[in-house]
Parts: sequence; structure tokens; C-alpha cells
Amino acid sequence: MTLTPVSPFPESGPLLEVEGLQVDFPTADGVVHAVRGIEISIEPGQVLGVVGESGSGKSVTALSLMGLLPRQARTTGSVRINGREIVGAREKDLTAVRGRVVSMIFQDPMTSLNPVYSVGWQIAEAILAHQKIDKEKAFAEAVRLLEMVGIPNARDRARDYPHQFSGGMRQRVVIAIAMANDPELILADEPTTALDVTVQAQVLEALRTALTETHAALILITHDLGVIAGLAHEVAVMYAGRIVEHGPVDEIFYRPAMPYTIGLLGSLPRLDSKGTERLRPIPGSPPSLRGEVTGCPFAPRCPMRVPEVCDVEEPSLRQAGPQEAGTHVAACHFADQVVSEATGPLFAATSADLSDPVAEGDLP
Amino acid sequence: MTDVAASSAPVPAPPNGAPPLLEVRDLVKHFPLRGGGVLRRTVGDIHAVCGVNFAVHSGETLGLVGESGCGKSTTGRGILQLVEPTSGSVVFDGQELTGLPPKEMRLVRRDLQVVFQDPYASLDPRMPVGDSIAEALQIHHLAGGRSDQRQRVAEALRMVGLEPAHANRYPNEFSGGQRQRVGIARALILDPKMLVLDEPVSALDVSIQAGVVNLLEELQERLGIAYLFIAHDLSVVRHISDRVAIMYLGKIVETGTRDQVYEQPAHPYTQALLSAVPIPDPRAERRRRRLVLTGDVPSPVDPPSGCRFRTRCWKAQEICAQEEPTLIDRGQGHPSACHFAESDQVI
Amino acid sequence: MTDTATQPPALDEAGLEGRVKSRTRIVLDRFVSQPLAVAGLVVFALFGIAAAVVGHVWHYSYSQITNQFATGPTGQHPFGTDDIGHDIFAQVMRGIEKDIQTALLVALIALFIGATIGAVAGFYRRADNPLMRFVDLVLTVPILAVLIVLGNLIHNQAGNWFWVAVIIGGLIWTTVARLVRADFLSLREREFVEAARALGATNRRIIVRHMLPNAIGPIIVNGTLTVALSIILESTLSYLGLGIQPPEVSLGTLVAAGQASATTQWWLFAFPAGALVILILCIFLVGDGLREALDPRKTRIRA
Repeated sequence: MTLTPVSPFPESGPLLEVEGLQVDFPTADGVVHAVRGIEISIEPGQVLGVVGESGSGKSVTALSLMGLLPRQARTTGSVRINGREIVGAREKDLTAVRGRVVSMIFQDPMTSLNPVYSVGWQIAEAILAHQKIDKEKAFAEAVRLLEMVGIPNARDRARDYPHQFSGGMRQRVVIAIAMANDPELILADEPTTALDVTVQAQVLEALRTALTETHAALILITHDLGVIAGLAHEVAVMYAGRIVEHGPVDEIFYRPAMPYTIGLLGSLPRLDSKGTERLRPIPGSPPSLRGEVTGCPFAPRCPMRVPEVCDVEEPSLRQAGPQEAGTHVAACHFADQVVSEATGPLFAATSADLSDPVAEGDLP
Repeated sequence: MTDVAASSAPVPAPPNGAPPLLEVRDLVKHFPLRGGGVLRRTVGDIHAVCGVNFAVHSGETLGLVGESGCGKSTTGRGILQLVEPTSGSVVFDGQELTGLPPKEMRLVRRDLQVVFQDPYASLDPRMPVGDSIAEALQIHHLAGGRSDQRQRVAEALRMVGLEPAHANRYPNEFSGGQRQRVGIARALILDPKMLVLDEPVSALDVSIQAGVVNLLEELQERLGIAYLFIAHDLSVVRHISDRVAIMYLGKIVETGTRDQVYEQPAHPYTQALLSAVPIPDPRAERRRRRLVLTGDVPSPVDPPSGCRFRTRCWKAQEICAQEEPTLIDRGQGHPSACHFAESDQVI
Repeated sequence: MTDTATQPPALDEAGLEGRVKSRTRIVLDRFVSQPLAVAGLVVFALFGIAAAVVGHVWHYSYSQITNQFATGPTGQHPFGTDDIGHDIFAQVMRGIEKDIQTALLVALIALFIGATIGAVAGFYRRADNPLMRFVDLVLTVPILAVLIVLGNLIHNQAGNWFWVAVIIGGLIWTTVARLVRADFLSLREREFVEAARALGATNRRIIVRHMLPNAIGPIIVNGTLTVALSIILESTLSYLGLGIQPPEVSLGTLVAAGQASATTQWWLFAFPAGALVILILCIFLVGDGLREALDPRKTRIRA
């Protein structure tokens, strides 16, 4: 099933615009630069997948888009939703945006669900916030939404409480609430990470339904490249607090231009491969985000590293790949060489890990 | 509940006809569910593992796959006697393990070791990693003096691809992948014949997983160890296993060689499972046929009668509720437990 | 096995020097970084040293009767004298010494009994219920009543501070037991304990090598609280005339003796009471600092 971006407002400007976003956390051991300058632009109806491993800064980015960072965080730059600035906005203005314009789906559904109200009631409440209809109609609509996300016996289950549902079902209830809000943008932060694979399939199916019903845009943040491949139009790859590659989904998967992306794709065991070839890990670990970064943060692990260039200057995002395929940018000094040499394996099929242990004080 | 016990066929022996290194027969584990109140009487049982049969031969990898709650971890622990099986038999290297007194089990543990899932939790945070590894030697009185221990620890670290000089560092100074390697070193220093690996790479980042998987494969080639690889990630299992067994709600529903199960899955659950795994390939994803299951996994306290999968199965008929299908070859070349088994290429 | 072309450089010996930070070191550093805790420790240490030393070097002993009575603080008697002629300074020092001595013994007894019972209850499933019911039983015993009754028995024993300590210790170990049990219960389920079992470790090895070192934090913190609590208890007893007996002194007896003349001869009350308050405060500060050092409230960042 293909997803084509359906924009009901083709003339309007971007739905979400992020410019120069930086997030720092002052800690006892120094400042942690969790996000070091990113740019994102989302059109209505578009699906952007943000992929990164632990320490990449993707979760902090998600929280900062909604102004949900803890108080110690220092945010600079601009995040504009429908022209409204989020960075530094007052809590009152933020609540106006949350839920109505942007719905969030977190990894733990209980973050969004109130344990003391029935799920039907919570969905109905969201409906009533937008439409002037009576309570019975709202509840009936809630039941319909539950059916749409695939909850069996929706009529009876609507009166149940969140704790009476399994994890996957709770997540689908959260999606139903998101649909009820009729948002313009859905922000999903690792929505299926904790779920079994068959349950994940159910939740992703519900997410697809939500997108078709609401024509909302979606920012999907995850470490699972398979999920991204199945849902996203565009992909942004994050590493060490920055976006290191960004482009249409086919470009990223078939013609990656940044060695980290290549490494990531090459290290995945695939369900559809015979399993005879050795995997190709990326040696070493992501850098600590404490202190300043000189040169390319991926250089210590990069097989294409040229010390005179890579250790000195951090590469900016530059054009990679043909112009017709869409805007495809990669943060590598040698992006064009990477694309043309994508035939042979870039990373070796190693099994050792002799790198210096890195104390993971602030990172999970 | 009609529970057909011993009539399910074990996994076929490899061509050379040698007896299997590990043979599990009708393994059952129930956990009592205690009610509240002062006396906390048992009100029911969690049927975690309900009659599991399989064998693992020397030097091969059996992948035991299933989603959460299927009982695969409990099966692993039951084999290791970390959890006492309710009934059934576990024969390792010709010796029956169930009911073995602790002293004799300790001797067996030299040959049957385990690698746990969580690299953050499976190492004592207060001991340098070298000490954690050396403990294995101390428990079995296998080390000479201090220097002999240190040498063997250094060797073990080298074998798992770590720097021997890091032996006196604490676990929190290592990355997740490195900690997991320490866990593997600890398991290997006793030179075991078989490793039970319980979700060994699930807690690691994807690009790190690959290194550890490569390591496990190399070690198997070099040392000839057998692996029982318990996991929920079907892609990793396909990569590393020789044979595969799929578990659902305490029972094995399908088993066979890796290629048989992945290319010609016969049981509807296996088919649904395989079609649900996302593939990092946009074109393949767009083309895929999705078999999405309805409903939730039933509670293990009160499993459905007959075939346990029938509540979510699109092929379910009356017979499925009445008669539990046994795990036998139904014409597809490998055993499956479904009255309507039909192989279907899903990937 | 390794492809040297793509390996990051191996660590050389120089890079290893000074990198090993043992957990004890980390805890000490964290403790030292808290000014209040350090102040408490320093003052407590000063008190202790002073009390131990003064008994030998001061020209008056605590029981000596001088010919200056009922005088306020002077150069010769910095804390004044009482109606009989005792030097209050020497008495306060002696009182501090006795209090610390008693409290440490109480803490030792309480920790030993409490940790043992707690460890056994937390580790052995079958022992848990009966042991905890025993703890409940001990808890129902009203401590002061017991102490009052038994206090009478040891009223005139020589060195009766020892028996006071034993009685108190024998009754307040219950909090330690509960804490240790809770810790052991959670540790028992930790994966590294299961890993040790899978290696073939005996129960004894697991308890001693793995669980106790990991449970030591709360034990230490509770130990300091027990010390403070026992000083308070002992002072109460002595104040009631049931604890330490004359000619021996403790801060409690001094406060009892001095409280009647608090307004007329303030030095008889102020110095012992002040010392008591400072002593207990220091112990609490140290305990708080230890707790923070062992289990800091750090804010975690999910990246």
C-alpha cells in the first residue's frame, strides 16, 4: 500500500519549520550538547522518519518540538508550527498547540492516558473539544474510532479502563485519541519500540488509518529502519546531535551518501536474506555529547576518514545524488565519492571491539 | 484441557546420527498465582511452558523464537535449572538434569553456560569485569594462583574481541556491546559445550548487534559450541540459526531447518509473524502482503482449549477448539501444529 | 579475526594510568563535595578527639570536686562549676565520650543483628515470613517501658553503660532488618545474582560476595541514623534517671541535673544541652551526606 502525501492545503506554507535548533543540558560534569543545530521542514500530509541510535539526540529533538523538555534544558533556535514559535513560548500558548494542532504518541501509552477515566470517555472528550455535538454522539463516534484502530468488541471495550488493555491496545487507543483531535501533525516518538512484532504491525496499521483519516503529517522517530521503510516519504538520519543525511526514502535506502547511513544499513540482518553473508558492524561507539566537537563526529569510526579534512572541519549538509530524485543532502566531505563507490562494501565484517570504554554517565 | 503429551515428534537428528547434546522432553513449567489475603492461597496457575520438545546437536544453533509471554525465556531457565521445571525431562550430554542435586548440577554448569539479555544488569556493578570473569574459575576451582587467573581472564577477553588491559575496569565504564562481550567471556572461560543465549543482542543498538552476532558465529566455528538462541527478533534468528522452533503461549507450533521455516512456513502464526517483521527496504515494504492478526494474546492463566492460537487465527474452525493439533509433519517437510497447515511463502 | 584496517587504535599503557576510579572513590568524592556533610563530620571528629584527649590532659577530672562551686564560666573552668564543685567542662567532655561510646556499641549490635536477620529473611523465601513476624513482635515491645524495667535491674552495676547499650541495641535493630530485607529482596531478582547462580555459585557466596556489597549503602546510612537514635534514647533514659548512673556521667544526666537551674545558673544547662544538640545534628548531617553520596539524585538525559 503506497502512501502519497495528500495535502488539503497545497498553497499554504510548511506546517512545521525548525531552524538552527540547539539543546544543551548543563550537568555537574559539563554541558551536554544533545542537539547541535538541526533544520526540518514538514509539509502537510508528509511523513518524515527520523532515525538514529541511542545518543543521537532524536528523543530530545522530539520533546523540544513540543516544548516538553525539562527545566534545565537550554534551547536556542526556532521551532514554528503554523507560524507560531514554540521555543520560549509560555505554557499557556503551548497547551493551545498540543493536542489540537499536534498530537503526540510516546513510547509508553500511559504517558497520554488517564488511568481513572474509561478510554471511551477520553476519546469522547477529545471529540467534544472540537465539535459541538451531544455526549451520546461523541461516545458513538469514540466507539467508531476504536473500531477503526482495530479494537475488537469496541462497544463494550469503550467502557474499560486503560489498565484493562494490553500495551499494544493502549497504544492504539492513544492513536484513536489522536484521530479524534484531528491534528495537522502527529509526532510519534518510538511508538512501537516496546511492543511485540505482531502487535507492532497492528499499531502501525492503526497509524496508517489515522493518517488516511486525518490527512495529518507525521514525524516518526525510531531506531527501526524497517518501520521507516514502510511508512516514511522522507528520512532524516541523526548522529551525535545533528542530522547527517536527509532525503527521499528511496534515496536514503538505495543510494546512501553518508558513511554512517551505509554502516547502519549494512549492519542490519534482514529477514529476506539467506543469512549466509557476514554482517558489517560499525566499530566503536557514538561520541560523548559533552564538550565541544571538532571535525566530523563520525570520523573515529569511519572507514573513509581522511584525518587532514575529517578531523578538522565538521561537514555541513551538502547535495548528494541526482537533483531529480528530490533534495538529498548528506554531511560528509566526500559524499559524492561515497555514492559512486557504493558497490563494494565500505565496512568490514569484524567481530572485535577494542575501542576505549566510554563512560556512559549521561546517556542511556 | 486435552493436553496431548508425548505424541509430538522430536526434531529429527542430523545426518551423522549422533545423539543430541541436549534433549528436552515434555518440559512443563507452571507458576502458581497467589491471591491476596493473609494466607495467599494459590488461585490459579500461569501455564508458562506446556509440554515442549526439542533437541540441540553439537555445534549447531537452534533458534527458539516467539513473542513476549510465549515461554521461551522460562524454557531456557528451566533447561539451566535456574527455575525448577514442574515436570518433564532435560537430558544434557547423556545426563538427566531435572532433580539433580546442586553439587552435581554445579559440575554440569561447566559445560552448560548462559548469556543473559541485559548487559547492564547481568554484571555485578561493584566488581571489575576481570573479577566477574574470574569468578567462574574460582567457583569451579579451576584457577591456579592469581597470575594464572589473570592470564586466563586476559585470554578470554581477547577471545571476545576486547582489550585484555581493560580487565580492571568497572562495568559502567563499558558500552553496552562491550558489556555483553564480557558476559560472553564469562560464559566461555569454562570451555562449555553449549551456551543458552537469552535475548543476547536485544538490548543493544542495531549497529552494535552486528558485531556481537559476528563474534558468536566466529566462536561457534572456532570452538564448536552449540547454541540455544532464544530471541524475538526474527531477522537476527534467521541469520544465526541452523534450525528454528517457533513458540506460542507455551507450546512449539512449528519447527524445522532455518530455510524450511522462513521460506515455507506452514503454521498461520509463523506466517503472521513473518509478515509482520518490517524489512529495511522501501520497495519490498510497499510490495508486501500483510497478515495482521486480530485481538490479543490470551492469558497464560487460562489458555484456550484445543489449539491455543485459534482465537486469533483466520483459519479457525470447530475442530480447532476441540482437538489440539500435534506437532507433526503434515506434508510440508517439517513439523507444524495446525489442522490446516499449508505452506506459504510470506517473505 | 580482526580487520586491522578498520579498527580504532588500541589503548596503550599510558592511557590506562589513573583511569580506574573505584566505586569507593566515587562515593568519597561525592561525599566530600557536600559542605554540610563534611562540616558535620569534622565537628563530630573534633568532639570525639576532644572527648578522648581531654580526659587525660585536663587538670580536672569529671568526678573531681573542686573548691569553686556554682561559678560561671571562667578561665579556669570554661564551662563553670556546679553546686558541688564539679568542673562542667570535664563533665561535658566525659559525657560526650560516654555517649559516643554507648552509641557506637548500640549501632554495632543493632547492625549485626539487623543485617543478619534482614539478609536471611530477604534471601531465603521460607524464612521470610516467620522472621518478619518475629520482627513485628519485637516492634510491639514498648521500648521505653522495657528499658525502664530493665534499667532498674542494672541500676547499680559497674560499667552499666555497657548493659544500657546492649539493651538498646537488642531492641532497635528492627529498622535495619527491614531495610536490609527490602534490599535483599530486590537484589535477589537482579540479573547478576542469577548469573552467579548460573555459574554454580553457592548461596553463601552469592550473599557475601554479591549481595552484601551491593546492600551496604543503606546499611551504612541507617547505621548513622541508629547512632543518633541511640544517643537520643540513652539521653532520655539518663534524663529519667534510669540509664547511666552516677558517678558516671552522660549528656543526659548532665541535662537532667542542670535543667532545674537553667535560668539561674545557665551554664549548667546550656553547655550539656548544646553539646547534645550539636552532636546529634552532626550525625544527621553525615548520614544525609552519606545517603546522597551513595545514591545521588541525578537527572538523566534520554538522547
